[in-house]
Amino acid sequence: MADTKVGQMSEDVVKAPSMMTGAVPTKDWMDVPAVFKPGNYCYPGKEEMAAYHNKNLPGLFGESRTWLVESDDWLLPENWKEIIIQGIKERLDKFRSFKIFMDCCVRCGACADKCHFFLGTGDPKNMPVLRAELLRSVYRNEFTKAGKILGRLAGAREMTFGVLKEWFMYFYQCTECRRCSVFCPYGIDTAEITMMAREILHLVGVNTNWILEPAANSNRTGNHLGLQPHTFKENAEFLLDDIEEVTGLRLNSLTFNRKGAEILFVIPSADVFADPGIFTFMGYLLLFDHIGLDYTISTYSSEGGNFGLFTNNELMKKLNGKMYAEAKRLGVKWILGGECGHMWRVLHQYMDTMNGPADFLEVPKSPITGTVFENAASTKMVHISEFTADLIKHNKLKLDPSRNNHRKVTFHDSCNPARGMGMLDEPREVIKAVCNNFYEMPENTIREQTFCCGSGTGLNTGEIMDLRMKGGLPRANAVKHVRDKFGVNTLSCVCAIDRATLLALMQYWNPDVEVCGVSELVGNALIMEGEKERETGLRFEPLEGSEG
Amino acid sequence: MKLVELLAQKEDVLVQKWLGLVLGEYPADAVRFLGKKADQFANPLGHNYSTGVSGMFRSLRVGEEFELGPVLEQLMKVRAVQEQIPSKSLAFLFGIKRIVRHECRKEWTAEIEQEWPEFEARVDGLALQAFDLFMASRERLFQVRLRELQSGSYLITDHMKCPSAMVREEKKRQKTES
Ligand code: SF4
Ligand code: SF4
Repeated sequence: MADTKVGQMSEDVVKAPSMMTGAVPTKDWMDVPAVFKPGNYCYPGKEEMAAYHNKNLPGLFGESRTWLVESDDWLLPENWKEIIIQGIKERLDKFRSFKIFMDCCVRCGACADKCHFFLGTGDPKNMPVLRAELLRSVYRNEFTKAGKILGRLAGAREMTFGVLKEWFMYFYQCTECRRCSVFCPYGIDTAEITMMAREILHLVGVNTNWILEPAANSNRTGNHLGLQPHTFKENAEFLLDDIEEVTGLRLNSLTFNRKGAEILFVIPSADVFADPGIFTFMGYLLLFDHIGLDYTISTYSSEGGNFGLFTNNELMKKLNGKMYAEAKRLGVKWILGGECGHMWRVLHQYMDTMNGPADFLEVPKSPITGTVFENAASTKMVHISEFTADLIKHNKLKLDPSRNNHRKVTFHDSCNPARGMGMLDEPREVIKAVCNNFYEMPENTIREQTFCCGSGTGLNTGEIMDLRMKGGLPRANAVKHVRDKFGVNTLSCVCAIDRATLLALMQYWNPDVEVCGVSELVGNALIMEGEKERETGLRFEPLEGSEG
Repeated sequence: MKLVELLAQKEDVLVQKWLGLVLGEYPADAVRFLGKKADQFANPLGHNYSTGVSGMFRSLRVGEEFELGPVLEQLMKVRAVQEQIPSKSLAFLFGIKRIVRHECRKEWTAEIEQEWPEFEARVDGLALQAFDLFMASRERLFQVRLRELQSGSYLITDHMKCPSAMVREEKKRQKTES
């Protein structure tokens, strides 16, 4: 495409290496170094954060220290290479899938153009096949005969500081969304390769603060922000005031840490303090009150999100275990989970082998419809959208969908509930029951093929905003399409990270599109007994027909 | 032949060359893909570039008749997050002058030469309009970042503080250190 004539004519500045990667056309990928510049990397973990994790899980988080990503000295331990090779070895032995993924890629390229980071940045190392090669090349060098003998000819290379830098750059430009795996004929899941790479990076203390700190907070106080029980409770109760203002009703069904409740409700903590999650939370509370559910919220397991997933499987296990410990302590029968992302990924894919089966709980059964959720027979945990869709199917909710008439809604399948647990239809059934205007985005951008928000797996941090906007371009582009075509003004989703990251994404790419949780739409539509006539939605926006 | 007619006649090749100029900034492996006319949702970056570049060319050719605003804005939003300095991000815009002269060299006449300054002025005008939109996009990006900072997490955690408090503390620390 870039022919030489144009090349000659072009300004010198146009041909200089891209600042993003230092990539110069025509070079083999192995010869293109990763160059860190402000804006293309996440800030490293604070010393005290790494120290905290090290104390709890010795040996997994490397030496705690203050280090700078742009420096040529990351203050690594002297034997860092051995630690890494040993780390790979242990994981090859422990995780069969890792070994298979290292061996069986035929480089067919089916995955190459399926990653939102490649589609948004145009950086070849963001092609899933190349991303995996970053690690696979070292694997070949150390663990395969061909690699040992033929070296680079067999796609092998030594572990060097340059390789380490590359790992830190590109395994933090993967949101573990699994879109690539949908297209791989061998089912290679690059997300799991990224997980392994990040585990290994953590072993030598190469980490990001945006992940270490929320994980530390979650471990210590129960949620990402480190909200202590009283603050958490106050925040949640504050939202009862808002509900009262909108509906005229003072709900009294919300309780905390109540022993003997039938159901433990676990939410992503952002739902009690961050806009627009708080409106989703108001939706949950209205729903539970509407059906008279016997539930409680734990202020200790006040976080569904599991940033352990982005560090290593030990921390992931620990954070996941917390929910079950609380369920046991409170003596509930089963767990209901809110609109969260990676909580569900961990639960669906890893919980059973890590902390399960949760035999001390009962197989979830809806107290309203009697439906037994067989899909949750082992984890004992049901998704709020499954639960709500079941209520709707059995006609148990009084709804006025016209209260959402001011919204033209589309639905973003968040990677974790969609590809991570296969929940595709339930949220749509709910939306269609509570809204009159629903429009799907194009087929190759939803359901199994959904595009990531571009900021998952702990990449939702401000210092890489440019990168996030690029990674989110494929999603934003599809939203733009339905906005232009149908006038869509609301992007709904069932993930708290998405509610935050899509908000930023829309504010940049499609500023007139708002972001909301599905339960907010439910809350708007629910006809509550004894309520006043509603003039606004849960975010105090005027309803259609009541403006002015 | 008048310049406008020549531009119309050669529209396809001129647009392709101009597009090639901007895509040429990407690594070769990516260019092959980005230049493909795939479904726009399978290749959003390539689609945004090709819509943007052909829109700009159309407006240079027909003037006000083509509503360039939204197309150019979208293209500049893309350019504004490529982590380049503004001059680097916008340099390709001027490339169209040389592309036209080069591609049309055989058809070049004295008449066209006379019309040329006006065309150049149009390109300059387009570049200035693009510059405004580019800067507006940068501004918007910072607003998004700021809003995210303000929207919660930093303000209410027990041990973190609002950004201005952090700046104040940092200043205090620097003072005591010096
Ligand atoms: S898991 Fe997602 S982000 Fe990671 S390589 Fe695959 S498509 Fe890209
Ligand atoms: S689709 Fe699968 S086999 Fe093909 S290159 Fe990608 S990871 Fe390898």
